[in-house]
Amino acid sequence: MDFNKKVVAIFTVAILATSLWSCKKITDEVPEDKLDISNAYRNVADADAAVIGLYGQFLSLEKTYILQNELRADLVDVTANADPYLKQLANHTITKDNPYIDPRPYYKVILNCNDILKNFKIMADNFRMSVDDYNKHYADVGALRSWIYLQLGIQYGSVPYITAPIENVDDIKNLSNYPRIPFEELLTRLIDFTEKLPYKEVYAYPSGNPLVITIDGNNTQKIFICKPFVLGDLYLWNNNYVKAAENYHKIMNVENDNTNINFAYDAYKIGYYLNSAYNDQSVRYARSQDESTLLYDQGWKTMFSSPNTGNVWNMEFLWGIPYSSGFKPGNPMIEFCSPLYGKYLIKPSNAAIDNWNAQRQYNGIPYDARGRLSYETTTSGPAITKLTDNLIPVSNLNKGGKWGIYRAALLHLRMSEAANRDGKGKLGWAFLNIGIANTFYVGTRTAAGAAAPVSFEEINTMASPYGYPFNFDARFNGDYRSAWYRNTGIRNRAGVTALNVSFQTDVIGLEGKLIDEAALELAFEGNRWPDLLRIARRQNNPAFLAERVYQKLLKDGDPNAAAARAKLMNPDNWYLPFEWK
Amino acid sequence: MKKYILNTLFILLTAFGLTGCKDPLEEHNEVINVDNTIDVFQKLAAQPNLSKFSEYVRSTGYDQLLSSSQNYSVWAPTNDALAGLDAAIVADPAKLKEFVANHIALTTVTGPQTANDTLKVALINKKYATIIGNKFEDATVAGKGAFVKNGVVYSINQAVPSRLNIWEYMLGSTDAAAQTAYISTITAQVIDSANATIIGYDNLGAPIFAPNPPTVSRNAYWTNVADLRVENQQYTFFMLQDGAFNSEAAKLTPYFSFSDKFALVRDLTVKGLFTPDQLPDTLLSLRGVKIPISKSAIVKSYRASNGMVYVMSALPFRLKDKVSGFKIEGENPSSFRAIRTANTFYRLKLDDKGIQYKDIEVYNHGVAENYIRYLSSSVPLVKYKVYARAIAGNTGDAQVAAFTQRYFILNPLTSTIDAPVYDLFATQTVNPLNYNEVYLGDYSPKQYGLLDLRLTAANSTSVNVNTLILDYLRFEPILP
Repeated sequence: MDFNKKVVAIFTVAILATSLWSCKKITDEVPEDKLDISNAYRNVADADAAVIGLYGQFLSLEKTYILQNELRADLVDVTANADPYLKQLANHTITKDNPYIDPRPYYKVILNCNDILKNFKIMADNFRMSVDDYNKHYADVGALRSWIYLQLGIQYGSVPYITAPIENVDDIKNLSNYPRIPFEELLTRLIDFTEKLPYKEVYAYPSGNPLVITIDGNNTQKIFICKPFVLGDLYLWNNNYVKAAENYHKIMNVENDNTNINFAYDAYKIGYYLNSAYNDQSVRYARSQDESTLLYDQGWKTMFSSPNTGNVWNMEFLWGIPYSSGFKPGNPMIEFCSPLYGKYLIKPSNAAIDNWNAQRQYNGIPYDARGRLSYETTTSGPAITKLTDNLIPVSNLNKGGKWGIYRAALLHLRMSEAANRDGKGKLGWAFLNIGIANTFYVGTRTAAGAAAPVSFEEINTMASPYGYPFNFDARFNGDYRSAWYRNTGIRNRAGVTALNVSFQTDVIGLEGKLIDEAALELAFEGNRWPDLLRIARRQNNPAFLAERVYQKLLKDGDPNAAAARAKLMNPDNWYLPFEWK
Repeated sequence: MKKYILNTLFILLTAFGLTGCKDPLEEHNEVINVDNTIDVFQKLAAQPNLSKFSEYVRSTGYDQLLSSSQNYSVWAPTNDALAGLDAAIVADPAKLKEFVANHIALTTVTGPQTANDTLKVALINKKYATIIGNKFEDATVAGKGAFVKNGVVYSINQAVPSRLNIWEYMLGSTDAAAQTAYISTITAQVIDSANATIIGYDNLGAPIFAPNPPTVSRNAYWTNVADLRVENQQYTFFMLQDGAFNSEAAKLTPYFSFSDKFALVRDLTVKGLFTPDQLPDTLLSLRGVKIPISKSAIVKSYRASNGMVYVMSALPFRLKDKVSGFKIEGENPSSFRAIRTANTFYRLKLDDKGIQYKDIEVYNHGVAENYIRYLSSSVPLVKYKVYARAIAGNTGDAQVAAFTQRYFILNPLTSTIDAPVYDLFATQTVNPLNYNEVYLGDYSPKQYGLLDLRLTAANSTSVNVNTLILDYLRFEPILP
């Protein structure tokens, strides 16, 4: 070996050696733009971030939630643009490969909940979070998980109830082997879990908590689940009416002591219009009798179009999550509902439209204006607007909106259902029709028919004569106003005539009317299938469900109408096939 | 040497690799049997049995068109088919050009999928051809089309001369001289906005034309009945021989005065094409008036490019169809004496039988003798029974007491432009919840033409007294 060659060889070895030692293994590098598990859950700010992230993920369930709950029921049908899978949902010919019945989106969120709950526990054990913070955060995530499980039970009947976190891939593969528990047992276990949550107030986080802020024009207070509501619903599904009513009662009276009297009298009270945005949830006309003067940018419709910082929204809604027009995902229902900015895949069924047209208003107009305010008639056909209403109208550049889940009218109908089943049909009738004071008042009236009590005895008849949780005080006169004095009833608020008082003592009859009212007031909001299913189960009356679906398909000319009815007369067919894919 | 062989092999392999693969997408879109080397005209010229037609194409200059880059379909009659062609067409270059153009469309029409495939194709002479299965109008398409780079050539077994449209046929025909003469005269000179010079725009955005703008003649039949020149619509049109025309017009004179002839001709057009074999005994005119058709009265028929023309020796309209009653709807007012928007309700309600009705109510407006004005034009001269429906006190209506309202009608004989005179026609007491029509009296117009009516409130400013309510007024003619 000559000198040159030697030098070259040494250099080569040296260079090779340097390059080997100077490199850190790529697998050891900590990524700068990803959060590693070791960096998460270190303090309460991380807990806040986890909750916000969870709700962001939860938002993706709206599409599934609305489609499964509305399309399978009687108020929504598919348009000619819809794909065969949507059609299957609408006429109950679902095949197992249908992507809209995949339970995995629900479990994605549930597994995330489980993981968060476990970590919150670790944080609390390691004193990284105060007990108070832990209670609120844990209860919030826990209640949300219960709500999702309730949905799963409603849709699939028997489902695996997984509450432990899953961290590795093999466990996910084994999910399909997880034992499934029937709906009844699921309800019991959900009630048990939810009832034991350490924090069960109406608002998940009180004002002042860092999670309650106004950001991008939206307030975050009510993007979190209302725990008494989900608990009340669980009890109602379990036919435990007093416990359900207790929870609903708690929400209905939550603002009674608010020093802002607008909150005290209008929040979740279904009041009449008193020239204020706080109570502008009524169906209103610029000129009574004249249908062309129906108000769209005031009154009932603004409950849906107002931003969640608006008083009209705030006095009605208990749980709703806004979509920002500024960033993704945007309101997913635009794609489904809008002929202009979406694909127009679903529409109000003829049965739903007929429901509205069968109502009569006090001003003589022979239909329920809530229909006109829930859908619009376009050149393509009737199009649902309720799910895409927004202060700044939806457009290609503005895909904003809200997913409204819980609101006062739903609350009052559920309370009425519980009261009716507990033998307080008159209270249920009052909430449904003309309000507490009007229903219960016995005494002197003016020539125009308004209550004008002349004695304490007469004033005292304005309150519901029942004990907790069915006590509602609506007493008022010139000097005194109780918390419920503005309550006017759901039908009265919409200007439609009251039902016959005979329903006050007709449990089955009133129960049906409450569900009928939900079709008018809550149409398209995702409550329909659960409502029909709950009553059909409770009354052990498959026709309650099957007949309504049949009427939808019949009126929309679906050849599968009779077959769908026959199918739904068997309770086993009420549930979707549960398929891990 | 070995190296060169290897290199050569390598290059060859690469070359094979490059050319051997066909893009599957390309394969999918490929249309078989297309000759992309020649254009439509070359294809035409190359077929010996189409030589005559291609010669006409050349002589009319359309060969330039068919060699251009746009896509065309040509339905070329064979030489045999052209042997019997009217010599007048061949002799006149203009007619020949029209004839050739009637076989060419500016689009590539592919063959029919089924025997009943129906297609309307715009031809380059602005007419439309109907293609049903393998029929091009009356001619039969032989075989499949020959597709070339800018279109397709079909050969057909019959020449298809272009047809006149209804309007052209009517003007050229002498079968209904009086009717044609009348229709040709109802013209007006209007500004030819396409050719006029615009010198500015007024406040409303309407153009201002330079003085003495060019004008064109526009026929009232086009705008008021149907534009029979339009090729993309189809009409069935009746032409009355002079005797029938004069007698039918005379029947209408007492009722329509100077407008009698127009009252007749406006019901001579029917929407749609009704060929003789599918002609029913009664058709509805564009206005909805029944036209009684006796096949024995058909003197002549012509299949026009945009429909069908029948020459009739008689078309005996029934008077009750021509002089029909009419309604004035309360919710369609023309104007008000005093506009009280906040007190004016356009209402939708249910009557006692559960049937919806729309009406108008002006309530608590505070104007004595306020009125709502209604106008109805071209009202025939005949005595009418007049009925009113006005419903008070229905659900939601504050007017629960009886009240009085009056109807005044303009008297054109005693009115001047500055001082219109309205005669009291009827006084109506509106009783609450009366859902029936109320007979107001008989009304005879003083003149043919406009009916100008005022529904007038009581001479009071009081609420519940000066209310106005009207669902509708119904005028029922009393005919002999």
